[in-house]
Amino acid sequence: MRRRILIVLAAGLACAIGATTAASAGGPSPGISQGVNGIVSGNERYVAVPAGASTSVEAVTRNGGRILRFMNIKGQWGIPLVDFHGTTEGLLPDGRTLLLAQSVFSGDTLRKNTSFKLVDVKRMKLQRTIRIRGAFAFDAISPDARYLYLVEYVSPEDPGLYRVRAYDLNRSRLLAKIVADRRSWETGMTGSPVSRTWKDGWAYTLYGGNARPFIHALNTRGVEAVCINMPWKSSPKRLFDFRLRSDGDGHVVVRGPNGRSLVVIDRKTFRIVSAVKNP
Amino acid sequence: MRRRVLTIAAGVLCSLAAAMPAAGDGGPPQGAVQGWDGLANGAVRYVAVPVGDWTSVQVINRSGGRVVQFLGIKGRWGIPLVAVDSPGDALLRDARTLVLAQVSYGRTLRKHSSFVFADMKRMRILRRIQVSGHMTFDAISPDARYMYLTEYVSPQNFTAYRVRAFDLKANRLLPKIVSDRTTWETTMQGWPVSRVNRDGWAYTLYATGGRPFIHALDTRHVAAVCINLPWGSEPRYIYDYRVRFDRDGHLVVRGRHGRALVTVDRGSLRVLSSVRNP
Repeated sequence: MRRRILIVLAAGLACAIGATTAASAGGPSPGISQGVNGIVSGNERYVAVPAGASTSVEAVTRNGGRILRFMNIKGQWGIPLVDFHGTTEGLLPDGRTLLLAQSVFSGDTLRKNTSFKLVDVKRMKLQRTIRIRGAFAFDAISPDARYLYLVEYVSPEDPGLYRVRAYDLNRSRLLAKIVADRRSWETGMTGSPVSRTWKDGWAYTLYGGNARPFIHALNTRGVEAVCINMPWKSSPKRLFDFRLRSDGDGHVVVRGPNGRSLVVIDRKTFRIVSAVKNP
Repeated sequence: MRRRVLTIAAGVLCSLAAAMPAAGDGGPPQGAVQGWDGLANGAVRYVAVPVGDWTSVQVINRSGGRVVQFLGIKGRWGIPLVAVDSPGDALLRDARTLVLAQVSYGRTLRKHSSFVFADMKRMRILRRIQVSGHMTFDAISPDARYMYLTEYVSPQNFTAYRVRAFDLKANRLLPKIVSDRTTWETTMQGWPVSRVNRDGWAYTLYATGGRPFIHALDTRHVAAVCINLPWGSEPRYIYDYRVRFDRDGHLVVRGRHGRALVTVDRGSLRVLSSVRNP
């Protein structure tokens, strides 16, 4: 059942932050993962490792570190990172299709066209290439693999400014609609993803690096979003050590560096249930 | 103390197997592997993965499978593999320098062969070596003074080879052919089946299509002895055989189920005991 997005008191103009702050200089996307952790599925780990002008996509056993399968793709590709903790995503719900992304930058400037590759990591075969005009980074994918959510960089002068777009994988087209909080006129956002958690088709992302941190709640099934401002006037000092988690009571919880619960949000109403004053 | 290479009764003409099986049909041996298991060393595994015209040399955590470090090297390189049970021969005793060997996919012998020494801690190339001829890695001395190479000498017969030594200090290939001094022949034939190393010696069991033998290479002193195994023909499952050491320090050829088939004294390099029908 489609979940209704409710208006919440705390959320007004949440994501629309006019001033670009220093942290956004790095842009809203943490980039792509090459080598290192890759992404895990069962007993296998998938990694993308660059060499020369190509990338090796590999399936590695988690027990033993043996390379089971590999394939090469021309160009520099990586597994999308979705937060600055190093969380990777891009594995489709079928558990065998992996989305590979490019860096949004081509040299020092934003790329004019962006491609994504869908790879069958069981057969090590390229399934599909998606090409879109503009500079896009991966954000999320819906549980039914219908919608691919992308972060669109909208200004070459300000790479910290972005908006969320949806790509319909069934129809192979970018939806014209901007995925934004309907309670706000603003569709452009700023900030850097700190931590990501999922629940019931919703991707919750804590954003920081700007004046006021917020949680971007993306309904990946329904192509909708809500922004929830954090109840602090300024950005906490160790915000980038914070983690977003969901608890068993249907809440989304912002936890501090030592696991302390700092903000509790009701997932149905998007209301802040409780918060500490000084995180 | 330098160990003397002893003349042994069984060793004469040990490596000269006349029959040439069809294994050369797929091109000359490369002696190096890309991808898959690579070389396990403690908590990590080193693998060389072909990526277009490049090779990605990677350090992978054996627990968890994370690719901890990687290095792109132009060209096609692999981790030397002399025998299936000896993937660690290409790692120097410092446990951080890995020898990578050139891999080519032609059906003929290449004119030059290259090797790269890579520091797997700092992920950088330390040294490149190029030699004339089609050569594959065979062994390295414990003091890293000599690198032994298998030189394939016949474009018609990819099983015919001789062992050469590259002086890593003098940076040159020694003109001397590393062969058993008890025979005039310097060219051998066969396929390495199993390898063990001890005290600077590399013992390799070879299948020949005829009479199998163990090649005992004194890596410190650039000398070798061939030990013919006491069977008139090649055992059926020789590729499952393994060379190991027993508790007394003897060299033992074990069969498929671990049965000791031949025991060789490492001091005299004599066959102490053997079974008639392996």
